[in-house]
Amino acid sequence: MTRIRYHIIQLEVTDAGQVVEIRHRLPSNYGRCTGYIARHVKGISSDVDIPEIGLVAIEFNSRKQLNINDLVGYETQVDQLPDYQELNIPLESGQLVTGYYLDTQKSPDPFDTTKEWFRPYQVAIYLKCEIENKKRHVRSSCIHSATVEAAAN
Amino acid sequence: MYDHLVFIQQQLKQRQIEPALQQFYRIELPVGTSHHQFYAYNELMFLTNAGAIPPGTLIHSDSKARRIPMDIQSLEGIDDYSGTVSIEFPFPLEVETTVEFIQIVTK
Repeated sequence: MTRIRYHIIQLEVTDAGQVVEIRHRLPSNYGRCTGYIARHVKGISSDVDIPEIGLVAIEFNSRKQLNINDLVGYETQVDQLPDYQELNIPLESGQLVTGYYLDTQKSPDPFDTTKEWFRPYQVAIYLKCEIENKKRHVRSSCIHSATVEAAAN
Repeated sequence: MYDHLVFIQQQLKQRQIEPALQQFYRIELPVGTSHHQFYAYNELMFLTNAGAIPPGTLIHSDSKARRIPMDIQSLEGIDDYSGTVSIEFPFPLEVETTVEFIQIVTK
């Protein structure tokens, strides 16, 4: 039986042009990563959509596989979550997910070099992962009662 | 002093990358350069002379992005870049600058 788990990596961008490092450990029982979404969640307010506010790169299995290079944009109205981008990455247990987010926003005024237009914001990376249940987990209380019963007999 | 070559060898082993070639790769950038881009697909480029690059410079690639910090002279670490590698200086270069990498071509 395969179960789906969703994992969120939150990133805070506090400066214009900032590089935010991603260094994250997924739970060790995740067996495969099958999809992702990278999107702005909070902070930017604009009347129009911005096709690119930053770049994201993600490597899996402690830098053994570079699998995601994508643009992150801003949408004024989000009616529903976008579909997950497909991945198919077997995960090695306990390994790191690494990478970076680079803010690439441009000033609305090309002659403004003060960066006062910039407002901190948050980006979230949603990972869709699978857990394969190979063994049936038995609660320790069940084992205890069975042992007691066996001893009594 | 941290041995960069040992570090690189360990990185390659840990990431299960087999090198086909290891050599130095130098880019000489003339006065006035504010941006330089090159390609390093199926390669790893370990930046060896970050101290010679102006603080605030952004180096970004498909796998890694790093802004050179003010205290770069006191740091030991070296980063690797691959794919499309861009170097963006905070202002046009006032002196000729050489950026040096250890280039690992992978099998």
